Amino acid sequence: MNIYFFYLIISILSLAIALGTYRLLKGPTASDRAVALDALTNITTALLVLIALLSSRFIYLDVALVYAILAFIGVVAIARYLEGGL
Amino acid sequence: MIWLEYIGMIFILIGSLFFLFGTIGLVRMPDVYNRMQASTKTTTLGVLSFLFGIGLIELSWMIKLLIIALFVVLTAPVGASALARASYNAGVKLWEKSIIDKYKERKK
Amino acid sequence: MEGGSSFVYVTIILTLIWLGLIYNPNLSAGMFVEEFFAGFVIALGTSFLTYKKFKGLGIKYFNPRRIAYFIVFLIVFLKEMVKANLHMARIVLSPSLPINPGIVEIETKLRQPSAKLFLGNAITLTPGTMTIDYDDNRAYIHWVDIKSTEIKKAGDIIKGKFEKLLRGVYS
Repeated sequence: MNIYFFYLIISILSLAIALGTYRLLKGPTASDRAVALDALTNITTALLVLIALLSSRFIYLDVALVYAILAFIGVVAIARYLEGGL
Repeated sequence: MIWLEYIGMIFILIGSLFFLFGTIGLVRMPDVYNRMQASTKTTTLGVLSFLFGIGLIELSWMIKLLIIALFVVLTAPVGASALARASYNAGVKLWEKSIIDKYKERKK
Repeated sequence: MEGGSSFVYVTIILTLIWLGLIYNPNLSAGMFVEEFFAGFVIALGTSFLTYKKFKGLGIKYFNPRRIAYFIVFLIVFLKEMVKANLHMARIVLSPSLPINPGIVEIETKLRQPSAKLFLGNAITLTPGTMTIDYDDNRAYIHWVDIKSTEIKKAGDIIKGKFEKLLRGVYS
C-alpha cells in the first residue's frame, strides 16, 4: 500500500476518532457516551484490521473479530444497565 | 493484479469517509436518538466497505474479513435498538422540536 | 422426536459458523480435520442444550426457494444501506441540518421472532429510520425526517419491499 495513501487514511480516521471522543467526554447523558463508544469501537475494529494488513499477519484478524464480539456484548450490557435490568 | 489493489484503496477511502461523516453526525445532531441513527448507519457501512477494500488488497483474507463484516452488520443494529429502548426507558427526552411520540402514548 | 428438526438446524448453522472461523489460507489438511471434528462435537453439545429455544426454526429453511428469497432480500438490503448512508451524509453535511424527527408506529404481519429481527435490522440500516421496540405486532420507529404519521402509510414507506421478501422466506 502506498505510504501517502496510508497517511491520508490515518488522518481521516484520527479526525473521526477526535470527534467521537469529543462526544464521549461532553455527552450530556450516559446514553450519549454509550453511543459515542459504540461508534468508536467500530472504528477500532477497522483499525485493527488495518494493522493486520500492514504487518501482514493473518492471525491478527482474530483480534479484530474478538474485539467486535466483545464490543457488542459491552453495548448490550450497558443498555441493560441503563434500563435497570442489571 | 495491481488494479484490484487500486479498487481496494478506493473502498478503504470510502469507508473512512463514512466513519468521518458518522462522527460529524454524532457531534452535530441534537439528541441521543438522532445521534444514534447517524453513527450506527454510517459506521456499519464504513466497516463493511473498509474490510471489503482490505480483502481486495489481500485476496486470500477475503472470507475471514467478510465474516467479521457480516458479524458487525448483524450486531450493530441490535445494539443500537437495545440502547435506544434503554435510553427511552431511562428517561432521556426527545429533542424539543420532535413532532410526534407514539411510544409515549403506548406506555401510558 | 419433537424438536429434532430444530436440533439439526442449529447444529448445521453452528458448524457453518465454525468453518468460517477456522478458515485460514495455510491450514494443512490434517489440522483441518482435527479442528473440524472438535468444532462439530461442540456444536452437537451446544445445540443439544439450546434447541428448545429455537422452536420455530427447522431444516425447512434450507429449501432453495426460501434461500433464493433471502438472497434477494440481502441484495435489496445492501442497496438500501448505501442509499441510507448517502442520505445521512447529506443531512449531516448540510449547514442547516434539515431534520424533522419523531417516533412513529407501524404494523407488521410477520409472526416469527427471527423474521421480526431481520425486519428490525433492515429498518435500522435503511434511510432515516431506526427500530426502537416491538410490541407484539406493532413496531415503534424513530424517523429522522417524518413523511407521514398514519400507521398504514408510514408502514408502507418504512417497510418498503422488505416485508414482502421476508414473507417469501418464512411462508
